[in-house]
Amino acid sequence: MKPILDVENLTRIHGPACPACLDVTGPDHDTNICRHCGSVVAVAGASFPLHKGEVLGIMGESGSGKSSLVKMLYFDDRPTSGRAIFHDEGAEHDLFSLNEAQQLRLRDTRMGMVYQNPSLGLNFDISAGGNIAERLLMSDELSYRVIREKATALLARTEVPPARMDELPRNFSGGMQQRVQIARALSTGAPLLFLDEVTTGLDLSVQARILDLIMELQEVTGVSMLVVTHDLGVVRHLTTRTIVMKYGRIIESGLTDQILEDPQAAYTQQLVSSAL
Amino acid sequence: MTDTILSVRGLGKGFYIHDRAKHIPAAMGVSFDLKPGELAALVGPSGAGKSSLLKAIYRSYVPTEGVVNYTTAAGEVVDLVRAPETQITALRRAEIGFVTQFLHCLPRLSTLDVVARPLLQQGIARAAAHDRAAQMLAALAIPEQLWDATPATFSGGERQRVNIARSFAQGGRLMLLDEPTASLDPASRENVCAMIEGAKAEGTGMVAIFHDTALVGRLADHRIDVQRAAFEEAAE
Repeated sequence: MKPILDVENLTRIHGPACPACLDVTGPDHDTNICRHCGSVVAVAGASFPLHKGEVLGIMGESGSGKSSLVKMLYFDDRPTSGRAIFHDEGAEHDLFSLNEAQQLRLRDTRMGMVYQNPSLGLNFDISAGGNIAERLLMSDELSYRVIREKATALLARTEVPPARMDELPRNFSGGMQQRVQIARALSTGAPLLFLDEVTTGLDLSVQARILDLIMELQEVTGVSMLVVTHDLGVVRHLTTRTIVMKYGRIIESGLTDQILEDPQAAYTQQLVSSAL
Repeated sequence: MTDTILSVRGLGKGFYIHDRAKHIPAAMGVSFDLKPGELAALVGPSGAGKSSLLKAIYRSYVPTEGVVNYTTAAGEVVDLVRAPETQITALRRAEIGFVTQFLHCLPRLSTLDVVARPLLQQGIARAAAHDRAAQMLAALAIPEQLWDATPATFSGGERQRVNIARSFAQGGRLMLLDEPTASLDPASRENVCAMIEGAKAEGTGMVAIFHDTALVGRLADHRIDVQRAAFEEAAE
């Protein structure tokens, strides 16, 4: 299996940053705040591949840097240092050396993101169908008829009643907003999808149906996914491989069943035993 | 040697529990060879580490020591202890199956879908996958009226049979069985034995744990004493 994404030494420090930042933070120091300059080390030296068709989980408690990591890859934030190479059907994109226009273009057409908070991923002032149309327009689909058909098909696939296509997503339930977000993320057939705590805060029954939907869509499309979550159930059901983060560092990675059944790092053992 | 499908040398597993700063040995230095169509039974008292060894072969556990050389369908010899995770994932999908006592599945899928799912993931067409799933469920005497229901509502024995149906529908070149007949009635146990014998006849190699020693005598070509194997290994 070939990687679709190679992340190398990705680091994000909020604040002035000093030469000691990386040496005095991390799991060994039990903090991500540099005691010399007060900077917050959100992510430090993160390296991993994401393989084609793979669902990779990123697990950790709040503040571990898992969301920061994904935000950088989706250009919501800039890294302090490090690289990420996106191997996109023959093209090689060195993500952080691209100019802003190129980055936006990739993000609009070749990547998808589903946020925990639907208001980040959706435009609440336009209809559900309009949200999908917007992304299709950005990928140069200009025919009104084609856009309308595609939007209808996508919403049907994510189980949003087509009758509600012209309503504003702000009037939808949390679960349905997530469905519209997923439909929007999938609309351009992007090969790379980021999911950031997509089921957090939803009712259990709604969570389960969203997970089912994601699994089914992944099997049908073969899209590669990076799934950020603190929920061991999501990791177990969705992912084949898992990365565990703490204080901005990757402290363990492995097959998901191995991480859950035979965790190696002290922190992972704690995390798994406290949740089961 | 060329037709050996699995060659296990000195496989051992221990756990380190950080919380208590303690090493817990689970299984020590087991060695055996397996040819296609053969079944090796891991035998030993409860707590000897039989399940740990099975999980170590499947890599659900990180093995502490040893070599597990597996010969793939393509003829390549892969040490499962050291193979990259992506290779393990690919082998699990296509060649190596694991049957546990317990069925973990999403409660919203129908029984037929649960059994057919691994086949769909292998890229088999929906109709064919469902046919094969139905065949397996029938062979294990799961009443057809239950196929639409989710296994979450089933009894322990029924769930176990669904689990076995799923694993055998997927098949594979190597199957790891952890007490596949533990909670079954005599008739169901007979069905499962027939299925194991059928898979052996088709060339599937198996490593199994049976709680019923009569089954070891009936199905096993090799008897691997998990505790004694450690001493034999040391003497060699």
